[in-house]
Amino acid sequence: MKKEMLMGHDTPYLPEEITTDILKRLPVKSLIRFYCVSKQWKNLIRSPSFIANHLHHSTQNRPSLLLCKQRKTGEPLHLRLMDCEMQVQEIPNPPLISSLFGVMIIGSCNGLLCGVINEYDIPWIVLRSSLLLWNPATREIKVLPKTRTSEIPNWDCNGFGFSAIVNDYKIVQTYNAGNQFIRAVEVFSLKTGSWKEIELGPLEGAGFITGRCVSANGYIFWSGSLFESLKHENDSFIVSFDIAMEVFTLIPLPPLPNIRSFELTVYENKVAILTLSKIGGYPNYFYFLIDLWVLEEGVGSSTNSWSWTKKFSSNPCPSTLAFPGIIWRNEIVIGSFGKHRLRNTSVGKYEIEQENLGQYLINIITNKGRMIAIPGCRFGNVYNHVESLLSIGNI
Amino acid sequence: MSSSVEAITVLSSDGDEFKITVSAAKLSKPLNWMLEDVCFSDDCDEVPTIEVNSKTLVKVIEYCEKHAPRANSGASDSDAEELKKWDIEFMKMDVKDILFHILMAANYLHMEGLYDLACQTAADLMKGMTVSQIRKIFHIKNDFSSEEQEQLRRQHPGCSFD
Repeated sequence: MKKEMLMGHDTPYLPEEITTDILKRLPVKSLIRFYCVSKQWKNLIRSPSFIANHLHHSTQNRPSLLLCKQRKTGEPLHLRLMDCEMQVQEIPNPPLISSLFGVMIIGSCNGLLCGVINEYDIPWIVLRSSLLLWNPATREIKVLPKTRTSEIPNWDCNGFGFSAIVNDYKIVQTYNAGNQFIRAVEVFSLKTGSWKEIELGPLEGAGFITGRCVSANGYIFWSGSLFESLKHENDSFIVSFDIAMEVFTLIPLPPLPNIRSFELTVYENKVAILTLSKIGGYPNYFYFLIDLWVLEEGVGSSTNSWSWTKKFSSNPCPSTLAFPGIIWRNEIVIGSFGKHRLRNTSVGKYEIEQENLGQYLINIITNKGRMIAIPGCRFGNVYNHVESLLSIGNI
Repeated sequence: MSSSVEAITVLSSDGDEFKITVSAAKLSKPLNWMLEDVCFSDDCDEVPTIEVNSKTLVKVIEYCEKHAPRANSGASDSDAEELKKWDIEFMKMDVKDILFHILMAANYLHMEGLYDLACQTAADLMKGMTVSQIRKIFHIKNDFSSEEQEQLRRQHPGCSFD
């Protein structure tokens, strides 16, 4: 009784299990503030099991969009985060990033961003580059050690992903050494904190892995043309990297006639591709179709039995849309640089009205389109992102 | 089960009697078991006790009765939208007053929907609370030494112990 009087009210004592279920619904900012409640709370919020629990809940319930404003070389990084309620907030650049000339985001995974720092001799000529990992929610940032080959500026591509099997985050970097063929591949493990060179495998004699990477279910994927030296012919493939086993596999694309372009994405934790294809002649000349293909099985297996399923076909879309595109909750998010604004018409075509820029969203279930304009954000890169408490130093 | 049974009577931990319809009781596994016990037992006069106080049980039953039609038959999107709005109104309660009791009851009665709703409501309220307000409602003492407070302040500039 005395205690209740002291407290001034009679909230029941909650078991830790219920407290945890409440805390996992809080944003990272509040949780960091609540470190100061008590030692027990600090230890709870910092525990690996709570961090994983919070991440899982956020991934399921609070997936965000990371908007990276398109910039000229050398402009400071400008990131914004849009939550499920379409609220946009600026992500402040930490001092380290503000002090750097050029930082580009490679990928986002479980709340961690991987970025490339380019150091320029003169504008456009990259002298050397290094990589960083950054958790914008906790503001933790770490520049990765240089690699044996990091003095060679001609790296081709990077990839960043997580494997639950080995509970590790890895970064892949390929080098072409000024040549069109891949010469070396190095992998950084966050767990060991070091780089190592790995076998090229099917990338032997191949070049030009272009496009950005996506990561899903323990694999990193790249799209683009693989130039095979012996055949002297271009062929489009998807390259997959098994993060746990550290091996590459080439995956053929589904049959895609009349495709103008395609882009890798992730759908329900599986690798998928979005394609833009032409409809035909006038008056449909200004419209495209967007299809979503999902790779159902065979990933990383040696059987090479790839099974692509077409999950979605859009209504005709205006031709003012441009990749990159991603899938966010039930919608395809794709940049629009058109002079028009979107409007659903009775014939099922999405019209775009004058003078509006932003992201164009197509619902995969209802096939309805809508446009969102984010001030100051045009058709820059968009990434799936989730806020997390993950510490870069403690994987 | 007799089809004539449409509602059962339960006792709160304070000893008050409450009626809950059969369809509403289906939202909770333990309530549903009790209901089957009551209906199948020879001694139908026995009134089961639920270890939830009267003030909380009123709210829990209100939630059950509102959600029962949808839980039992499914609902259209407009119904779901309406129910969402109702949930928001229903949850407009003070954490000091009853929210934690609702959480405990929903946990004890295995009511996932109400539990998630109450957890989210608590989390949303906590976003706007100071550290000392949090300590009060969770009955926690600040057990950091001044050195430890200083260390945390260094790690997280601007963090407050009040």
